[in-house]
Amino acid sequence: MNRRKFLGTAAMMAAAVPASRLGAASRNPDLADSCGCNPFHAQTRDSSYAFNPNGQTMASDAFRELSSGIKITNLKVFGVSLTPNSDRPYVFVKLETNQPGLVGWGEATLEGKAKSTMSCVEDFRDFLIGNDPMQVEHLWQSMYVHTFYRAGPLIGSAISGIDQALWDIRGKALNVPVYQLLGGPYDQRGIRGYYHVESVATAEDLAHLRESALQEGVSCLKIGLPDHDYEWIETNAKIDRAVKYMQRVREGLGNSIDIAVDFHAKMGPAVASIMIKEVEPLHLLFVEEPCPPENPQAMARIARHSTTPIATGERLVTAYGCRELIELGAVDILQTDINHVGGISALWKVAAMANISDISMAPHACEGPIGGLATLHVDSAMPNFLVQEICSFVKPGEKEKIWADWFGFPAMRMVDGRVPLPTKPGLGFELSEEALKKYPFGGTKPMEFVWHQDGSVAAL
Amino acid sequence: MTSLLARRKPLPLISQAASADTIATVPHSISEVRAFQMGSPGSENSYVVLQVRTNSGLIGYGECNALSATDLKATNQAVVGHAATAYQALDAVAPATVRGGLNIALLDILGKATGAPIYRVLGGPTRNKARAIARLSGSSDGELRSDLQKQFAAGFRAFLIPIPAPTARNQGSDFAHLTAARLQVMRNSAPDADFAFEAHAELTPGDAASMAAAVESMHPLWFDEPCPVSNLEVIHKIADETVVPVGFGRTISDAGTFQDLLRAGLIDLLRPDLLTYGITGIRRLAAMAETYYVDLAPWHKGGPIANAAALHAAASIPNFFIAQTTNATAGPFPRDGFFELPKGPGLGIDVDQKLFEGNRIA
Repeated sequence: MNRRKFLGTAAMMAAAVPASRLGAASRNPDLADSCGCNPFHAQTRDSSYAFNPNGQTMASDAFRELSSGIKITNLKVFGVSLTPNSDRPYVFVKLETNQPGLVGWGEATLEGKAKSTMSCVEDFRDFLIGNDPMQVEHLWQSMYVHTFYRAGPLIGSAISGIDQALWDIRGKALNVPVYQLLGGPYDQRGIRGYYHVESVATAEDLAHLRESALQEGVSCLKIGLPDHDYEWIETNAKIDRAVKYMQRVREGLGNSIDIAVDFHAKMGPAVASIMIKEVEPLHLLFVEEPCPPENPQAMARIARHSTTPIATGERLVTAYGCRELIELGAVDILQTDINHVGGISALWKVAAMANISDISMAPHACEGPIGGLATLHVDSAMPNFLVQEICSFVKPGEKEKIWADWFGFPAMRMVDGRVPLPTKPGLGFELSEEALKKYPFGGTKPMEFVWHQDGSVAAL
Repeated sequence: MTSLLARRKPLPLISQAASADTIATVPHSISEVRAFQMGSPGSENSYVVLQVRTNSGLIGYGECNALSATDLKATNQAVVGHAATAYQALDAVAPATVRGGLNIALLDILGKATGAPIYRVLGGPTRNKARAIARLSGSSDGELRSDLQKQFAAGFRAFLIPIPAPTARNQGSDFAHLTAARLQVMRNSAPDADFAFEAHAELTPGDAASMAAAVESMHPLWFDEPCPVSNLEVIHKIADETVVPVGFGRTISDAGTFQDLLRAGLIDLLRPDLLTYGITGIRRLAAMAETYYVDLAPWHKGGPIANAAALHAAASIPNFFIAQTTNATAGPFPRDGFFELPKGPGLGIDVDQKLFEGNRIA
C-alpha cells in the first residue's frame, strides 16, 4: 500500500475509536486526502505542511516558552583545498547567531565528494535559520528523521558538520569546553593518540622510528600493508609478504610500542582471516577494516577466527549503522568518524552503546582539524576510550603548519603521547574566514583508482 | 587482549585522591557530599537525599534509593577535590549505590554553574512538555475507580492499573476475564484516558501471556513488569504470544540485560530506575534503545528531586514516552496529561533543607 494512503486509512480508523487525549489524534483533513507524491505540493516556511497535525512549521515553534533566546541567523559552507587538486578538500560549516560574536564551527569533510557534501549542508540552511542552536538533539533528530531516506555517508557528513557547529555554539554560550558538557574529562592530561608511519622500508627506518616515538612519548603507531591490490582469494607470495612485513615491524619497534595495522578493507574475509591468524603472536593492538564495511556478519566471521583484536567503523553512519556490529559483539574496537557518523551527538551515542558490549573506542578523525579537535572532547568523556587516530607522522608535516597558522596552536599535535584538551569554551578554538581564503576550493576530485592485475576493480 | 584489558583500568587523575593544589585550581571542585535519609530505611517510601557542595558555593541535589554511612564515606573519599562538572568520569570511582544520585546532583551543579536547565546542558529540550502517568491505588475495582476520578481531576490522563492480585499459579480463565473487566470499568469511568497494566512481576510468564491476550484488543498502552526477568527464554512467552507492548526494567541494574532484551525483541518500553542509572545512564540506555525504535519511561520511587530529574531526562532524550512521578498528593500535577518542564538552572527546583536537616547520614 502507498505509505501516505496507509496513513490516511489509519487516521480514518482512529476516528472510529474513542478520542484519546494522550494520542492527540489528528483531525487534519489533509492527512487523509494528500497522497504525498504530489509534485505541486509545496513546503514553505509560511505554510503549514499537510502532515503537520500540531500547526508547527519550525522546530522552534513549539518551544517559544523554553527558548534560550539564541537563534541561528546564518549558515556558511567553506570548501578548503590545501592544494588545488586535493581529493579531500575540507568542508567546514559555520553557523552564526543573533548574539554578537557567537558563532560555531564544524566539519563535514567527505573524502572524494566535497561538492556534494557542501550542497547537502546547504540543503539544511532553510531548516536551521531561526531555530534555537542550543537544542542540538532536537535539531539532529529533525535533520535525520525528516530527511525521510535517513542518512548515508553524504547526509551523515552534512549533519556531522552542523552538529559540531551547534555543540561549539552551546559550549561558548554556556562558557564551558564541550568536554564538560559531556561530563569529562576522565584524564586531564589529554587524549592518547597514535600517528601514522612514514616509512619502514629498512631496519634503520624502524630503529629511527622507534627512537623518535619513544622520545615523543608516543605509545602507539599504525602501519598499512605492503601491497595495494589484494583479491578475495590470494597467492602465497602476497600473503607471505604481508605477514613478514608485520613481523618485521614488530621486531623493529619492539614490544613496548602498540602496533595497529590498517588492512583498509582491501581484501575479503577469507584472505584477511589467514593473515590475522598468522600474526596472532605479534599481539597487535588491532587490525583495522579487515574487510569492507557493509556486512557485519563477514566482519564477525573474521573476528571469530582469531584473538587479534578487530577494529572497524569509520564508514558507519549513526548509531543505527553500528547496531548490528555491536549486537554481534564480535569486534573489539569501533573507529567511528565524527565527520560522517553524525557529529558529536552521534559519536557519543555509538560510544555509549559500544560500552554496553565492552567494545572500546578508537575514533577515526582523519580529515581536517575541526573534526579532530571535536573528537577530543567526546573521547575525554568515554569510559571505553582506547586511543584516537591522528593522521600525521611523528615528525610534524606541512599540513600541521597550516593548522597552527589557522588556530594559533599546534592542533592535534601530541605532547608526551597525548593531545592536550582544549580549555577554551566550545570546541576550544577561534577560526577566521580570512585565514581560509588562502586555500580556495579546488572542486571535487575523485579519490585514487586502484585496479587489479587484470584491470578489474580493486579496493582502495 | 591482555594489554587492552590492562589499559581500560587506569583513570589516572580520577582514581587518585585529589591533591591540595588540584582542589584549589579546579573550578567548582567538590568540597563535601552529604546524605539524608527520608522515610524509615527499608520501607516502601524510603529514599536518600544527596547534597553535593562545591568550593565555589554551589549546592547540587540528587536522590539515591539507599546509601549506607560506609558508602557515603567512600563517596567523599573518591570525589572530594574533583571537578563537580565531571559527572561522567566520576561515575567510575563512586560506589554503585550512589552513582545515580551523584549523577543527578553533579548535573544540577553543572546546570547552576552554566545558568541553564539540565536538559539544555544536554542538548535539549527534545519536547516542550512531558507526558504523565499516575499509578492508581486501591485493590478493588471500586477503590481504583474513585482514585481514577481524583487523579483525572488533578490533570492525569494516563493511568497504571494494578492487576487483580493473583491467588494461585496458572489461574486460567477467571483471572483473564477479571483483568479485562477491570480495564473496561476504568475505560467506562474515563473514556478519554489511557491505561497500562502493572503486575509487579507477580505473574508466571504463561499467566502474563494469557492475561495480555485477554486485553489485547482493548489496546492498553503497555503491560508493565508482567513477569520476572529471570531469563530471556521465559520472556519469549509473553512477547511472542501477544502484541501487547511489554515494559521491563525496575529491577534491572545492568545495561547488558536491556541490551539482551532489545536484541531478542522482547521489550517495547524500557523502565529503568532513574535513581540507579542517573540521568546520564538513562541517556546511554536511550541511545541504544533508539536503534531498536524503542522508547523509555524511566521509573523511580524517590521524592521531589527525582521527580524533577525525571522531567529533565524526558526532555534530554528523543525516545521518551511517559513520566511516572511519585507523591500523588503533593504533585507535581500535569495539565491535560502533560507535565510542564522546569525552567530554572540545574534541576530548576527550590529545595527546602529544613525538610531533611535532622536526618543526616553520618
